[in-house]
Amino acid sequence: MVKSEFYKLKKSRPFWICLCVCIFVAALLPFALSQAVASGEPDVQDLSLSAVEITSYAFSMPILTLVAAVFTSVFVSGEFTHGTMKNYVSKGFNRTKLFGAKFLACAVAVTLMMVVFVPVILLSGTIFLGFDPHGVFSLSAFIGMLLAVWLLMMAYTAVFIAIGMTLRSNGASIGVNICLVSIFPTLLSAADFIFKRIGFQISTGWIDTNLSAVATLTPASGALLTGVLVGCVWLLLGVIGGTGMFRRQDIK
Amino acid sequence: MTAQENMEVCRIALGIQDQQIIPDLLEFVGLHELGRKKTKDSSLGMKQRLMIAIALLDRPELLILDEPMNGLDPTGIIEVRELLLKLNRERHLTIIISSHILEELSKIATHYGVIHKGKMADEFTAAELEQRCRKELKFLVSDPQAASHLIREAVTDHFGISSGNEIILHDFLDQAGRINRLLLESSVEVSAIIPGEQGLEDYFTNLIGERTA
Repeated sequence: MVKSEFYKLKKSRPFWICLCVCIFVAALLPFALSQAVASGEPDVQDLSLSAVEITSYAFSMPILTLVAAVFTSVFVSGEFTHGTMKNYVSKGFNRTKLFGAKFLACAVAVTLMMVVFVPVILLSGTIFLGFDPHGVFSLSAFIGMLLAVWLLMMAYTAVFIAIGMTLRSNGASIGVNICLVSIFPTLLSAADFIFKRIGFQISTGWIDTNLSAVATLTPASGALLTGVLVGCVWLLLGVIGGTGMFRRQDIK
Repeated sequence: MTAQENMEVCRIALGIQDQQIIPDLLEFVGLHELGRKKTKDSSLGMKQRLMIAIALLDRPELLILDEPMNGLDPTGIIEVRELLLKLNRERHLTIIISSHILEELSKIATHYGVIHKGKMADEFTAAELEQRCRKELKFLVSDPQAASHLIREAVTDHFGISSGNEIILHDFLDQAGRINRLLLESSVEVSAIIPGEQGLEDYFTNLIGERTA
């Protein structure tokens, strides 16, 4: 079943398009920032820009997460739209294994997007801004950041799949998942103001907040640990919750 | 994905090693010339045939099809029907079809089961159904004994006599005029000749109506 999912991934046009988008954005971002610096844009003048620093900034922006949201929605919900999921289930394949195989394929896809994104942005950043002119680079910190970001991206992927399996419609899944990435963090920030008086920061428990916190070469104390914990929790919730929903629902 | 790629996905998922099975099955169902055409661009009839080909990947002995003719145009219905007959004839496959398009079923089914409100209302063979639904010609005669003797001598002995003065013919229906003349010449009065037929839909409706009553 896993092999067949990887075969589908290989043949999936949305996957290759999303991969190209990641490469394009990774190449364009350093160039755009370098042009902004050269033209004297006030917003970027105070930013410390180099290939390494742009990589960490890019992870705190919803670039990869949006691409992952769109791809996962299409890859998962498309199976229901075209009736292929009904075909697999009617052949007696175990639903938990089906979900697991789907998650593995999506996880590999999103990982591959990261794998192409990082070298391209580093290369492009080095060309336009220099690799590390400010001397902030530390290999262990960089790898730690990448691993933490990867875990949080996997958590996002699990949640996207759970939503795709539940909604079973391309449009609805894409809409909800994009809202999850772009609007939900804003709502959580607003909720933080409400709960501030009781000393509780609700946004700490969400993936996006931790993505921003860990996407830096000098994370705050405890940020990495919190990020890993939140990533693990949402990864488990996404997989278990998504599997549960998928097992219970009738597929028409 | 193309038809071949769709089948490849299922072949891999089922763990079938033989890769030649895909072109063989595509040829069997008549989809070998699709080439690189995407399945989403194919007609509904082609998609149905592809679904059947996928179902045949693991060489089943029994195929269960849920409303396979639904939504198909007449060409698609013919394609699917001929494929099912071919499967039964060449691969000796038992096929169970759930359908409410009775007219189509009557062209392919050998055995019927009528389900009403989750329960089996009736089961019969195609031959029995034909008996129950076929055309007939009723002759209302003054002397059924004499009429039956005359018809047996001159036409056929495949007829029935009802409890009234009715001779019911199921064959030689085009001989109505000749039979009428024969009876009249032999002084058997014919008060009425009534053609009759119970269609499949009428039979089904009556059957369900009896179960409901």
